[in-house]
Amino acid sequence: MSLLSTGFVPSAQSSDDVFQFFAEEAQVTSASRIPMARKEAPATVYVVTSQDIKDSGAQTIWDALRGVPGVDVMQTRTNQGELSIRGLNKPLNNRTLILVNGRTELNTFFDFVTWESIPFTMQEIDRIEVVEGPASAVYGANAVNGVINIITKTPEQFQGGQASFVAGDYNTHIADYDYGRKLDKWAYRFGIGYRAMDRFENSDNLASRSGKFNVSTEYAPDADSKLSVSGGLTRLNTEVTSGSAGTFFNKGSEGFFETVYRNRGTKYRAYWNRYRTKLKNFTALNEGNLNSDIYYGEVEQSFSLPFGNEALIGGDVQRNSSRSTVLSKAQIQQLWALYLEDKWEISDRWSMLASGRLDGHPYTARTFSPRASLIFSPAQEHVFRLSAGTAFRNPTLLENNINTVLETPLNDPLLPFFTSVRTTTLGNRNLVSERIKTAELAHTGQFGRLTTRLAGFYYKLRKIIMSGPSETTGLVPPTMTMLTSYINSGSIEAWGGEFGLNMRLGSWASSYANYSYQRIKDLPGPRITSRQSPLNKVNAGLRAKHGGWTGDLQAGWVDRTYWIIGLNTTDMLPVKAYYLVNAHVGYGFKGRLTGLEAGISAFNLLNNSHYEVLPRISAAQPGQLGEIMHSRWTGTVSYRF
Amino acid sequence: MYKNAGVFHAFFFVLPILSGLCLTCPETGRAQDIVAVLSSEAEPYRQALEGLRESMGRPVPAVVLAKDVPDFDAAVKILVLFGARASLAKYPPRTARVYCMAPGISWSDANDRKTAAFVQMAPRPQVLLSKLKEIHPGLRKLAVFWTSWSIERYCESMREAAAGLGIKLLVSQVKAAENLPEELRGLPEIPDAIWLPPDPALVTPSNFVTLKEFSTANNIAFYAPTDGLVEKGALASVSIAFREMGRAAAKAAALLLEGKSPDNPIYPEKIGITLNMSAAKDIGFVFRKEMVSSADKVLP
Repeated sequence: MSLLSTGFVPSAQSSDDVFQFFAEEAQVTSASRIPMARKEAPATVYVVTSQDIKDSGAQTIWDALRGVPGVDVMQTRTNQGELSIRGLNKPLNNRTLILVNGRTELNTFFDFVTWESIPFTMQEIDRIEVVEGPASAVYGANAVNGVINIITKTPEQFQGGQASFVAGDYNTHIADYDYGRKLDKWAYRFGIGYRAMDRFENSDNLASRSGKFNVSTEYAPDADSKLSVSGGLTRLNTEVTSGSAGTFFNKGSEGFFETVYRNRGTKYRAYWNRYRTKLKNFTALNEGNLNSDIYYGEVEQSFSLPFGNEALIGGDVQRNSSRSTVLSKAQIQQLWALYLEDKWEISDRWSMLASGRLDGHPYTARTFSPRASLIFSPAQEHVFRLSAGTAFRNPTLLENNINTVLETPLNDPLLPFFTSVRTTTLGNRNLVSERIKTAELAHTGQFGRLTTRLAGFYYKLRKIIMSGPSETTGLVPPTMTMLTSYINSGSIEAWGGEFGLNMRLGSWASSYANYSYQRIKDLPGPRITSRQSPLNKVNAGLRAKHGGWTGDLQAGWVDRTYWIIGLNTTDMLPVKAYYLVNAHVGYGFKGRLTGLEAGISAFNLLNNSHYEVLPRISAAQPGQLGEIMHSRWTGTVSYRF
Repeated sequence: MYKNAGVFHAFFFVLPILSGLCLTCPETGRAQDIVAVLSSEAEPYRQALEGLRESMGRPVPAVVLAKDVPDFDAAVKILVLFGARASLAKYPPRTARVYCMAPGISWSDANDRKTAAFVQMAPRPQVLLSKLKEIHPGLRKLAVFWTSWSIERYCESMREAAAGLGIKLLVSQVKAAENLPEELRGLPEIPDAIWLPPDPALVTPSNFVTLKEFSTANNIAFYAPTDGLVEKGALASVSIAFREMGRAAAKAAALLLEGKSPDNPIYPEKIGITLNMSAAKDIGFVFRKEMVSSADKVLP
């Protein structure tokens, strides 16, 4: 520090001084109050905004994320997609944590998400944050290769209502109505939605139908505190593929109730997730039902420490209870976690973020997940980041506790007297968590109208949980009986990177292009997981707005992948590389009709019919039961009031 | 002659030096009850400090904040804090605060608002909009963008004033600075003008270029929060000089010294109008002659 004399003469104010002044102010304000600008976050973060979703005409969350580098989108059925980050694709993916406003949407039994069960409409989404890389240090289990956090709009972002209706091919009907208001200290919002569509492969058959409802209220007695209470419910009947084990309809209801209280730097949060679903037509689990509840409580405190440190400390407890016909008895899991996060502003150009989380699970050892990031910003337009960390995935309830028998046809010339196999699958409580270690180097740069992003990563995933070898327990024709369970076996090593450009083309248009590369290697053993992820992906898009018109064109190319053809085999077949072009044109009316918008969207504009995961070959070779993707045109009318 | 002529000569040599030092020292006969804290040595903070000292009519010691917060002795009653870094540092709880030139901070960030004063960077909304209307008589739709919540509150206070002047406000939140182009393209209506508030997250060289290009391409007036940005190409500004903010801070400090609570937020009274003639020509805008003659600064 220095003492200033009274005698200096101030110079004239220049625009550069002004920019420097605001830059300094923004840097300090951003570090202390506003959520970190994504280029200075501790991991590679992409944000897809509500405007991006609206302009692209995306009707599903996975379609909204197709253009994000590093995100692998795999549409498995007409209305179900799988999202994974930097490889590790599979149906019923459980290595990417899916959150809505920070609350998990993963089904406790399988740890996967049926997207249709989320009780919010697409127009209620404010933004989708995609965190790439392990994030267990902050979010806990399942954030193995990343987190997708869907943030919904606040009541004041509505300040009125919005109604929309979509109709199109394959009997697609979507109707949404949302309304919200802020009244001095109170605010409220509610949304209602209905979605239905038929299958690509057979337009006489239902693919998905759901009705959803949600409501939230907020009370802010002063600027420092806020109490939020929210809840939602979805009734759904949506077809999902589990991979080789078969497809099923996830039918039933899923809901939640949540309350959050914030006061200055303290946050208290509690929620209850409720699942009451039946796995209709799922012969692998004898059409079992899944009834589960998650009860969750969390306390978090942020505070300042000396030498430019901003820290956060917290803890949570979670109780999972599940009852199912595929479990021998009701299962209870008690989970807990303690976490600490610190951001240290070393200087104007350097900052460091470090976090660590300790998780407890009833059957696995305590897991500690650290992560550290060093961020260097030599100029306002450039940010370099070096990160390293670990993450984990606990065994699912199914993997720990399943007890079920599945009978499948057998057609093996070497076993002519056997026509079926009866497999008993038992859970394994001796499983340990899957663990991933990763390192990443990234750069974000701004060059006038051009923004560039470059990231390189390496990771190693160990103790992979998988179906173990089957043991023959009986050979009484015509049925062979076998026993199988789950084991920790094998590792995967991967390296790759993403490069992306975003360019403003004048005041009326913008464009983007990105390329992702991921080389994955199974160590040791058969090359299964490594070949399920595409080696290369390319995306590009153009968006233009003029007057009331909006046009959006997005194209992507995904490299080929390989998938096992059925249960109890390691034989694989390829899914060809494919390209996908999506487009949207919309018009916003003015004058008396201000608020009214109409648009047309085309999914798979060029009708390049393709599979994104291996389809069924025969009864004995079910593949991953992927569905063919055709073109689908929809028309949208919405009114905002 | 004097036997101790050397001492005598030394006395007359040293005396002026001692006097000069005393003149530049803070008054020693009076406790340092007010101290200014600057976030950095950047020119805007220095100008504000000058304004503070001129208005106080006496020297006010100042410190430039690095990583360590200085210890203040018990005599210090008022801290005048210039900038966000100074505003967010920790100080003795017994001191009252005057927050100045921290547009990203709102008064809700203060621990005790009764002994705090908040000097705004932007003019009183009624004054801002009246002056914009004088510059631009045909102004009916004004687009305003914000990212910082403190600016959102300012925008809310603009609504009532705007309604009274027949101006429709199109207020849009910009989640991150790089989203401004998308928000511009997403405006529900074409505005007559855009006002860029003193939002630290939004006032960047890149966004300035975006707004300037948008303004020129669509013949829309672009009003900036400071005269420095009018020099860069904005059409005009209705703004408060940094020195004037310092003067307003001095008045607030004086009130706090008297034990009174200021009426927050505090808007500096004196505003300046700067016009850019070539920017006007670019968009086909014509300033009224009365406005050109009464403006504080007219750039060719």
